[in-house]
Amino acid sequence: MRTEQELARLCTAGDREAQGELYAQYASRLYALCYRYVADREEAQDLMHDAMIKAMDSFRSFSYSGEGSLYAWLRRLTVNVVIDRLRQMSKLRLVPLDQTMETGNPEADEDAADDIPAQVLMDMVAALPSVRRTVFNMYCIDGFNHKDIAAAIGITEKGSASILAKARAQLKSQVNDYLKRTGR
Amino acid sequence: MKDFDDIFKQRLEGYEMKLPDTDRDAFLNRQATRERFARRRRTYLSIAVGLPAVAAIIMALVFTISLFSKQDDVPVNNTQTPAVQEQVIPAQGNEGIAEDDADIMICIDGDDHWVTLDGDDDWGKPMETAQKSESPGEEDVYMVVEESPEFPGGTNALMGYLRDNMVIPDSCRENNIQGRVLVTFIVEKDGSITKPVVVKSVNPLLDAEALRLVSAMPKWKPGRQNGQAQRVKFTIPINFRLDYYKNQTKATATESAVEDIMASTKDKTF
Repeated sequence: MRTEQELARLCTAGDREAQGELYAQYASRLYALCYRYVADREEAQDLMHDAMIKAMDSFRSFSYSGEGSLYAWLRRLTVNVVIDRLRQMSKLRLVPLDQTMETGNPEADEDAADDIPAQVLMDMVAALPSVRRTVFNMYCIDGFNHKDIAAAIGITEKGSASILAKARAQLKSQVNDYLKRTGR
Repeated sequence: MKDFDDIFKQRLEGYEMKLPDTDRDAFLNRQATRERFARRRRTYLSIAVGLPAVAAIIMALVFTISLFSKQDDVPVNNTQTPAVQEQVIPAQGNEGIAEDDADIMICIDGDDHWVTLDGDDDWGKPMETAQKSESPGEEDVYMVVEESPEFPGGTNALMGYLRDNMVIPDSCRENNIQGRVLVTFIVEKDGSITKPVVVKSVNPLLDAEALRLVSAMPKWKPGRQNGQAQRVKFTIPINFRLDYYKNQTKATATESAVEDIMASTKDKTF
């Protein structure tokens, strides 16, 4: 298997085989990442392609810093592509009001939640309204802080924190619902 | 809260979702197409940038070359200008024209009487005056036109005509009178010759012969300006020479071009 740098270089040079290998290694992970943000398989697929293609042009700015740095780089690039797309579609500007009403937040049983299949968790995230989903993904999973989020999607930091709180509350109730349904 | 987030973070970060089997090829095709278009774009771009650049370089080169050649032209023009003026002089004044002695000296020789023509470079050229002559009540006469009038068959034919039809009066031959007579005339729009005037005289008898020759010429091809036939003033030198080589034996024995002309002239002239 090629090293990450060599793979990046060959992909940029138009080596079809290397591009296939890059796809084989990272496509499904990046696809899941996109899905987590857009909650739509086709759009996630399209975004993943866009991100990989953009990567082919941008490998020059990739600097290797240990095993897994290529994925970290691709992941950051993909999130940027996704955020750009969401911004273009101005989905992020429309804060849906219909789901702002949240009833009490029962504490989820975190130990039991460990057993929830990843795809179920994914679907829960996907079920969030797009702004909440974006803020939750960026903050809780992809490691952005509120400042980054505010700058990226054009809201205030306080707004970002507020939206995150609501996203968490919604997810908690969903986790509890799931645990009840599965009889735990 | 951190713990709750971790449930999602740990399970979803790096989570893989299965893609349709066809997706890999779809992606690779998309990338290949894009690379192809990018190459084409680069080609177009390089053409779009390259062609004007090459054109600019060529223009710069041409400009530079023309600058240099203009500098070269200057002395040439300077030397040509007097030559033009020389030709203008006979048209403006009938008197005081500097005699080209060399021409005559070559011809003068001996007791034999023979006639020939010389092949001066200025022979048969129209007067180089860039103005119309002012003759009140007359239609304009051009000194210079875009397309000069021409003797039918050209200058060589004109030389042949003069050579073949020239008759040197006996008295001139006997008295060794020879020289170059300049005759000016107008080539009319229909090619006919009018107003022959001797502008440089040698001898009344030779002048008369020169006028006779000019008047008897066949119709010329008229000169043209902007495609229109125009009246054009024209001047020709007619050389009357008493040539050294009169004897037929000598003439046939020689081979130079001049001698050939003399030989062919001989029978008709005498």
